Amino acid sequence: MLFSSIVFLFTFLPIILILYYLVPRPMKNVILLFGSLLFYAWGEPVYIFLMIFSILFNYICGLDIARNLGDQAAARRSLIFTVAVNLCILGFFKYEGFVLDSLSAVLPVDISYRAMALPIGISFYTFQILSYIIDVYRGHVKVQTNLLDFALYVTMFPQLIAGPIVQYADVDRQLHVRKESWGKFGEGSMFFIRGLAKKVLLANTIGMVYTEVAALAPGKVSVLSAWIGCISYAFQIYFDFSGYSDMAIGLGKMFGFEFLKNFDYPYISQSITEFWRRWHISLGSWFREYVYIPLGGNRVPVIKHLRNLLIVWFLTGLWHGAAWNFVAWGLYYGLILILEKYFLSRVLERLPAVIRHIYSLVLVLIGWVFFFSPTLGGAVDYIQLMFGVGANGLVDSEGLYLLTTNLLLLILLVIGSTPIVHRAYERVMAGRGKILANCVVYAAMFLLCIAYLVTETYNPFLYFRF
Amino acid sequence: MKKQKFDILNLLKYAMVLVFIAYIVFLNIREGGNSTPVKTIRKAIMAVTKEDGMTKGTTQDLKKYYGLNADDYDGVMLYIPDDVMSVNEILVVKLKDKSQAESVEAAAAKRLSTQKESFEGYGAKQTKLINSAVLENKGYYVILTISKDADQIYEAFQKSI
Repeated sequence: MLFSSIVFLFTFLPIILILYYLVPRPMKNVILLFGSLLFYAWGEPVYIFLMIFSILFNYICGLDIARNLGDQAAARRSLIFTVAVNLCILGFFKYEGFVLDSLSAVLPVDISYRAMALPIGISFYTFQILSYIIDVYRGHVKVQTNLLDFALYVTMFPQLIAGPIVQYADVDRQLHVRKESWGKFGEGSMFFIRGLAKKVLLANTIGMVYTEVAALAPGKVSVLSAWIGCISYAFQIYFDFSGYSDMAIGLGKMFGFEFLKNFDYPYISQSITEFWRRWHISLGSWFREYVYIPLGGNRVPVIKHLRNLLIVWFLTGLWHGAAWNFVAWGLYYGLILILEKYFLSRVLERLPAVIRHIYSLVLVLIGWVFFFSPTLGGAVDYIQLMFGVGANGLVDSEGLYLLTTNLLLLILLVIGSTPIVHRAYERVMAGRGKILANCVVYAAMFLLCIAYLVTETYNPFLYFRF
Repeated sequence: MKKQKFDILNLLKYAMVLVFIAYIVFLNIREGGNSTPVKTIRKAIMAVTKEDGMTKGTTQDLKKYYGLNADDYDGVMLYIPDDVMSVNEILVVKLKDKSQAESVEAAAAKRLSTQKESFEGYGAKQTKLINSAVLENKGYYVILTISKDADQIYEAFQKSI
């Protein structure tokens, strides 16, 4: 089920909210769990069993690790077993085809296989489960003895399908003790509507521009069109994914939860290091906490530090998709971050802010080409087009048409991806009557989204495929 | 070497692994795979039916009749009616991603209902064929077939994937 679907907005969410607020405290988690399982089963009736089996398996393993904490070797064995089983499941569903296709490409035999459909959200909930298992082993959190609470942590529908990746330590207490209030509910509704507007009004609209460029026949793409396509995709993925995260955070607040923010205006960054502090923050934190630091982080000799960074970025790329272009995308960032860490940061510091900003944006845009291209070869071809190799001239009529018809939208998106709008809005709304004004503005925004949704075709979130 | 404790938790742990394996085997049988190219499916289907009343559709036809872009999918097989009084049609779409299934099924269902509206009331034979059409999503594939051989076509499709 999509957050931006009529059935979710006018049937599922109202029913779950009414039930949640009607039932007594001990039943609230039951309602949320029931709603979450229904939410997942709506689109994935078969894979709901995979999720239930994962919950049971990891619940048992968590108990096993916890009781063995006195015996370090036994606890470690149990941890390795649990992590290995979880990674095998993720690997089977997500990477089987990629591994076998890659082997077929290098071996003289063609390996045939029956690839399974990717269970939606498997990358997200597997990482959440691993955060719990590892933290129990480390003694950072207490083992969850209540199966219902553990199941709720794994399945919670606001962030189940596309994050943010909530670490167990961040919600452990909230699973038992959380406070709902009208103020928090209102704040959550605002977050949700803001996210919905980002997705429906901005991401979907600019997505059409990218689709138009992607559909151009090879040889008919000018340098201008190629850049417009890439910029459009950059805005689409930002407003799509950050919109989803806002909706997730908002829904969490409506049910009394507090999730950490996942985006912090990444396109205003002045270096790639800064960009990754602002983009998909929960994934970055996960890799730092559970891969980078255990490998030694930066408190090791330079060679090991380089190895650690490359491992983390190789895995970050692979997490996003089972294809070489995603691996290349991850390593591309790994290399840039290494360069920034050891050489470029000193140069960047001396440059004017505007140059640092352009530097970051150009590198991020090139990065998105790896992300949206279906193959690594396709990505290389597209990057060549952006720099004139094989392009249909610098500027052509198609490119000019795309630019002139979408200029206003692009300007709006540039402004929208900076904190300017939010700050200005807060300043204007600072006086008396703030609540009423907020109600009017957000109600109007919601109605506009609904008007778009009723006429729109199915348009899932980009991050659903991860 | 220290002897491994074998109690209820360990037993459940390993039992769950067996459950995972059984589940994956079940899914493999039930869901089918996605490694069969559309070319192979086309061959299997055309072995059980004839092109009578149909003509091979182009990517423009796919856009025109279904509103779908061929580039968005891993492969498409399309046969459309060859004259205004024919309803014979076959569409097989190999999805890139399972999340595309809903939109492709919706497009095929819309096409089916348009055809039904067009022929209802005056084309009894055609309406009968449309009413017995097969529209299914199987793993990474969506199939729509309107034909007197619809059942055989679907069977051939199932066997080929």
